[in-house]
Amino acid sequence: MRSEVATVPVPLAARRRFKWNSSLVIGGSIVLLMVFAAVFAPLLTPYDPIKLDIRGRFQAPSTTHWFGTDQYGRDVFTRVLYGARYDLLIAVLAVAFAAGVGTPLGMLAGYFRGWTDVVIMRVMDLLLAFPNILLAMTLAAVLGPSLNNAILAVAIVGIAGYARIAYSATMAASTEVYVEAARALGAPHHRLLLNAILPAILAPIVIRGTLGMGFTILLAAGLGFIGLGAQPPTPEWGAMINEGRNQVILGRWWTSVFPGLAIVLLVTGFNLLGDGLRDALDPRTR
Amino acid sequence: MTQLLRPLAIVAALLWGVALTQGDPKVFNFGVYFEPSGVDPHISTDAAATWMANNLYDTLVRYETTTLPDGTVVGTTNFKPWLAESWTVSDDGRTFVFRIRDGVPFHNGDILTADDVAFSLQRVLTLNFAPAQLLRNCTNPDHIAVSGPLEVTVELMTACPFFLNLLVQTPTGSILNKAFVEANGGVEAETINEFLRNNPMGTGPFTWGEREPGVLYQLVAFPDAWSGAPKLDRIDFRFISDLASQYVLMQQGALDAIYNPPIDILEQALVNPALKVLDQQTIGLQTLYMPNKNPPFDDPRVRQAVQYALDQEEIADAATLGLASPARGAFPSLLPGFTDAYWVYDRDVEKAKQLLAEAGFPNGFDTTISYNSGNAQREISAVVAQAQLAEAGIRAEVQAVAWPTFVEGFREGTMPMFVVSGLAAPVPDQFIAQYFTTGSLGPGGNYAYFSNAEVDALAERLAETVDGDERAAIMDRIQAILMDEMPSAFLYNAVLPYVVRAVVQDWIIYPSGDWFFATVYKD
Amino acid sequence: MIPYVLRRLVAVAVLVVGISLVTFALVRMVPGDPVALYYGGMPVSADIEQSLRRQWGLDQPLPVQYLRYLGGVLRGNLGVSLATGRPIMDDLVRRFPATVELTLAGVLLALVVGLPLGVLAALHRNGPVDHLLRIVSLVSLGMPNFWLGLVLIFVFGYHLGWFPPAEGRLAAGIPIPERVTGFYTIDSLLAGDLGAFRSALAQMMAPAITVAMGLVAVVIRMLRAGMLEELGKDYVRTGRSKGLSPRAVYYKHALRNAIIPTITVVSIQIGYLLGGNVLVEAVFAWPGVGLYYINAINALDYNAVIGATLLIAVVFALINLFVDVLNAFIDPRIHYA
Repeated sequence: MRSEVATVPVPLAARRRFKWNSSLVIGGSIVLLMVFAAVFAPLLTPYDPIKLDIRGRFQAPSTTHWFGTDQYGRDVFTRVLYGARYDLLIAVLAVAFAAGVGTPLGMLAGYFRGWTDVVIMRVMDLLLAFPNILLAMTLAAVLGPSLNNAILAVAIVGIAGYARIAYSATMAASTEVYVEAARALGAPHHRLLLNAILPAILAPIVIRGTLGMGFTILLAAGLGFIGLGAQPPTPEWGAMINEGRNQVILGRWWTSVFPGLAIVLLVTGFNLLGDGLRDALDPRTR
Repeated sequence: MTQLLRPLAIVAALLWGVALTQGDPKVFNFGVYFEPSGVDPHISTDAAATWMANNLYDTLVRYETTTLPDGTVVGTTNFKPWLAESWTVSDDGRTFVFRIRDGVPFHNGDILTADDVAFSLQRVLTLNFAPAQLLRNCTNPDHIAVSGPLEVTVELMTACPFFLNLLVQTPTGSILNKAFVEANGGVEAETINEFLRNNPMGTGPFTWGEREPGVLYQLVAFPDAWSGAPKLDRIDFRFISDLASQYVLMQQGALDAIYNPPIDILEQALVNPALKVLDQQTIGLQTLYMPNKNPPFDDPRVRQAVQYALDQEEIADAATLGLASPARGAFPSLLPGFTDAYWVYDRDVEKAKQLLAEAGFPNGFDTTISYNSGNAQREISAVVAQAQLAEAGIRAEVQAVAWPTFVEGFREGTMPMFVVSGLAAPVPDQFIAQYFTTGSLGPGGNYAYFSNAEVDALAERLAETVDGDERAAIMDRIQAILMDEMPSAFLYNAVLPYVVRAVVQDWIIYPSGDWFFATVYKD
Repeated sequence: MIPYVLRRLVAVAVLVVGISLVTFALVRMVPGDPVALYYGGMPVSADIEQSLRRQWGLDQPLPVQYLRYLGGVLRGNLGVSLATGRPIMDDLVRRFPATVELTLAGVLLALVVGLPLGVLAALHRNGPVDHLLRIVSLVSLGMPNFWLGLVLIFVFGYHLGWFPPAEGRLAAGIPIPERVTGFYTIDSLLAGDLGAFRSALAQMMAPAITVAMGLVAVVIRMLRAGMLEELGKDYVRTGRSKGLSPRAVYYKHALRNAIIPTITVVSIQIGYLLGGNVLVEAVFAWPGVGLYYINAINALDYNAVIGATLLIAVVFALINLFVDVLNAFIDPRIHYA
């Protein structure tokens, strides 16, 4: 044990068994299906998502156009498939960014305490005082309406959540005996943070990340809906719902309904996956 | 569990019979998605504010109406006496003497005097907001005086051939009640009077009714108006931001008019026998700008090529369902002084390619066409133009831009190509100066960043010339130069459609864009 | 207790200042010029624009503008809206009840539907009903609220006739009831105007369902978990073994105990919903603070944006404080250091 102090031992928590369950499987399958659709979209449909065909506009769903066509004659099913790319991209990038920035912040605050804690966590409190959609909208307006800026805006909104989780998990992990011992014996901070604390807090972060993906997609679609996200002709689902808005009342419901259903499916998939992961990694919290 | 169902059932029963009140035939329901920023015409110049002011106040002169062969009455750009019963002009055109109508009541009962008229004209100039912009070049408060019990004399400092055109416009020429203004904050140079911004006092056929911001605003009839009691009792402007909902409500009879609906709804309305589409042919051109300071658009041959590559009919059909007429010059067809004599740009893709090759672009070039997101007419124009330009080798990407950024973009001339239209008053001097002179580059209104010394000189001369024939000759020469230089590509004469229920009668459309509701009624 | 509340109130005040600073800075970074927008992009000579800029205090350096603004806020003056010309405080006070009414209606609906379903799920744990409810909850959490709103208005409303069109809080031609609370439902009853009451309720149905949809899953889940926890407790087994009917045990005791954490969570959600219903207000043309915010952002109406954000953040913070204090009251075991 004495010789192992300089190298920090892996905590017990990480060695727990991974319990498979139905939520995990179903959620995972849905997400994988969407990823498949996104990646192989060009092979799954003969139509182009961007090319116009004004004469073929507003065709109802049929055998040639499963989801019908929109106001520019584009096949809605194709656009929904390609749209999976954008919404998945948004989810992954935004969550990665938010977790990537929020987790270290929370870890630093929870580990060093003192002024670091106060400054970082007060700023996080400030971010959390804004309702998500308002903050995202303002950020998107500041940055300018585009897909990339929407991702950034949604990511910034999410940082505080990860910081909070990392903070409390870090504080809990810091009180473990082996960490205190290693600290007392002079192990360097970055070693401790990376090798001892990080693995301990990884589980809740990953769970939060997966659950967060769904929420991120909803937020980004909301931005697309009010025109602050992806711009036409990009087939992002939220923007598509907005474009189809005026058509629904004229009986052409398919332009807005199908993209919405796609969102429901993907978000539900992520939520199931997140629930399943939580049950698999941490069954006590059920 | 059943205990919950009973009250729910009662509530459901109550709601099931939600009645739809067709309402009073003397109340007009107008669906809008905009609100006036105020009702002080000398300060608030957004369209909604002007439309309210059109009915709350009167001006010295008013646009004439004329009856078309099919019986409809439309407005013109000529004027007739209004609050001014008559007027005389000195031989040199510099002195106007207005005889004011007698016995005109304000909403509060005060009678209009020459004092009110002089005061109002001076007020516009003293406040010095947008409505004063052109008037201040013509006269100043010291040159406006009461010269008799119902007489006002105005001396012009310059030739100002369009002086009456300014007075006919509501923001500049509205007459306010002097006593009322002075009792409520008076006039302070370049300062907004918040009270007057929200409380009007005019001689117009309507007064201001209830106002619930974001929900409703009302014009209420003023039966003692000198111009006659309006046929309606009240106009309710109902704020409903969703245009599709507005359309549904109109079909149900809950709304009598909606303004500028999106193209798909317009399409439906055109074939619906219970509805009428009134299209207002405006004085303005939907234009594809290409700021002349940005290469490759600094070469007139490239600009000409763009115009040759475009098929205006196709664009106008797609964007306005054929309601708009194609542009035939750099001037809107309804602008006094317009001529199509110099228009040579019917579609010719080969000629376009040839010009591009001469300018050094045998294989075309790449560019972007921007428009403000949400504006369907501009979006469609951009998309169709894109396809047409591609045939000539110009590969354009269409880009939607948020409105504030778009405004900044066209003021600074940073967007390579963009689609925008503007409404103009029927004052050619103003139009030319704003759009084509070096003094107005960028934010001044010359979004094409067009600069031509000869045009500048001609514009200056025009402002000094009063003789009709001379003016026509100058404007002719200007248009010839513009057709040669082609500062922008001109698409179609902008049109603003409104949809009304078939029972709505006698809404007179004015090319100036003013809304005068006194004659409107429901069958 | 009192020192705790005071300390929290001070924290709220500090938060307000922080929020005002952040919002001020953010809003100023939105590209565009409010003066240019005021004239709708139409050209106006430079000196006139400058005088307007001066009127609005926009020609001062930013820190000066912020301090002047902050000074106004502390005196209760949120400035004047560039778009409506009216004091922002007035506009917000007029529109706030609309947002609150909608949120409360949604919450009420979510509770009325969710509480019984949560009990059902707990009593039939892991049975088909439980699983079905779980799936329905999951799907409802995945629905974008603006999309649901659209579907309700047009598919169920326009085509099936279940809901009236989205024209705001009252149908055309119905006069606004005399303002007492600002809640049209209550005010119309107070004024005895049954027609207005019916219209207000009808207009509120679809938006309330949209709001409730996001909350119902939370209610069901929380109550289910709470009930299960209670049902596993000693007093339940004791009660059953003593022969008390299931009704007495379940409803009177377990439910009452299980509801508290649910209500706590829901109360906190109310704070989020007040600001988070922006999109619902947009879709239904509901004239609340959310729609006000959207219009303000589009017009670059700086003070209006900050004012609306401050209002929502303050209300949210106060609600959290209220909930915490209430919790400390009810459950003295909670340590409120």
